[in-house]
This record gives sequence, structure tokens and C-alpha cells, in this order.
Amino acid sequence: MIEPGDDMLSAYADGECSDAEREAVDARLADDATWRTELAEVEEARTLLRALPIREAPPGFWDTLLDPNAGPSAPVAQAHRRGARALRWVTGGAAAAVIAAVLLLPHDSPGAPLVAREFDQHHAIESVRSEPIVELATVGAPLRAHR
Amino acid sequence: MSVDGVPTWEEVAREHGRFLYNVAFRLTGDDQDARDLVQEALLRVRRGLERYEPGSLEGWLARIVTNVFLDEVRRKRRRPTQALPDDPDLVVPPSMPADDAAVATGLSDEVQAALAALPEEFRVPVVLCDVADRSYEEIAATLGVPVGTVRSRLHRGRRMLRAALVARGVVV
Repeated sequence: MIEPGDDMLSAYADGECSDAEREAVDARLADDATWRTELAEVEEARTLLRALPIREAPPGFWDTLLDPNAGPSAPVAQAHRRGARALRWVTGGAAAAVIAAVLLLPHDSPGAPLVAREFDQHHAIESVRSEPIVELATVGAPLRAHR
Repeated sequence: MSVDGVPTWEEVAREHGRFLYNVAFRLTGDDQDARDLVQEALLRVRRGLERYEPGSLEGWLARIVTNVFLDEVRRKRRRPTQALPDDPDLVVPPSMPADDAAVATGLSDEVQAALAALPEEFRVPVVLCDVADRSYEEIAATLGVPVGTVRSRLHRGRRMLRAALVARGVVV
């Protein structure tokens, strides 16, 4: 026979007791007025909490949060943009390193156009990352910035 | 919604934002803190969506917003502005600050003020159970504690909340 502790009363009210625990609580409730009072009090608190209305966000909160052009008060969308910008700079940096290495090493076809080489190197990088070739435009920015 | 059943963070915000904000507000007791909590939670949602396995989305959201809240509580405890009890079980039933008393105008406000005055150790399981409607097992997994601890803290939290309401004459 389980000897129930009084904290089992909340579990009892929530339907979170095992069958054996429920039987033990039922037996104790039948004999103990203090337990019946405590159960009623816990159920009252539970009812009051569950009756709390849904708290709505202030007007405009979601519109601002979901608007990627909303400015400084849209941190999630901003973080999304920051992440994209960081990714472009990392990509640009990696591409710059590859290009610098290729330019400094002896090459079998020195006459190859720089743009074509950039394209090939970018393509090699992006084939690993599965990024679209449109990102090529951002590859050049860090290179120019460092010259 | 993508073909694998995983929503985008925007869809999560649109379809479950109301739930997320409500839980955040009941945890923090303050609209500004709830806004911050929701924003941080959505950032974590966005980062975590790749690992999300379709199931109880609200259970997952409740877990994320609770973790954000507890991270903030721990951050504040590292830089405490007032002494906190070593043993939460020794905490006496809370009394509400006078400012809250002035603001509380209806029964819901009284209950909210009593909830906000509960120590976090008790408030979190109460909110997860009675506001977010999570099972004891889910609450235990969220908090990383045994189900027996959830049961105990939830019971004590409800009793402390009721004691505070009795002290204010809201219930008899």
C-alpha cells in the first residue's frame, strides 16, 4: 500500500497519478478531513490559474517582429539579415584566400581572365556549400575593400 | 510549411506567437520582459528548426521559452541585486509588492500578481502546467529534474499562490 505524501494531491487533481497512487489518495481522502480541505484549496488555485486570460502582445508587436524592413525594433529579422551578411563576408573571405593562393602560385595558364578564375573558384566553393552563383557579386566586395 | 513538415520561424511566429507570448508573460510578469523573451525564443527557434522533429510544436516552444527565461534568471543571479534563499523549500509564502497591489484591479490581476511573486523554482512548473498545459513528464524534461520534483514544486507553488491570495483577501 502506497503512503501518499500531500504533494500527491496536485498530481491527483491533474490526473498525473498512477492507479495505485490514486487508490491510496482516495483512501486517505475518505479518512482525513485535512486532506480533503487541502485538495479543495489546491483545486481552487489550479482553477484560478487556468482561468487566466490569454495575454496578448502589445499592438504592432508581431507586425514589427515579422517585418524584415522594420528597422531596429525587429531583432529577429535583423538577426536573420546579420546572419546572411556574416555568411557573405565569410564566403568572401574564403574566396579571397583561395584567389590569393592561386594568384601567388605558378600557374599553367597565366593568361586566363581574372573574372573567369574568380568564377571557377567561387563555383568550386559554392559547389560544396550549395549556394547559388548569384552570391558571386558579394565575393568581390571584400577583395576590393582590402586593396 | 516545407515538404518535411517543418515550419519556418515566421510561420511559428504567426501561428503560435499568441501561445508563446502568453507563456512568456506568465513567466516574467512583465510585458517588456515578455517581448524580449519572445524575441530571443524566436531566434532560438530559427536556429533550431533544422533539428526540430515534427510533433508537439507548442511543447517544443514552451521548452525553448522556458530555457530562455531560466538563462536570464541565472544571468541575473550571477549579478544579484538582492540576496536569494539557498533552499527554495524554505521560502515563505510570498506577499505582493505594494506597487503590484495598486495595479491589481480584478481577480485575474490578483492571480497574476501572486504568480509573479512566486520564486522561479515554483513559478516555472506552475506556468508550464496551468498555462502551457504541459504534462509532468514534459515539465520534468524541460527542467532536467525528476517527475517527483515537478510534482512537489507544483504542489507547493499552488499552495503558496493560494496563501498569497488568502492573505490579500481575494479568496477565503
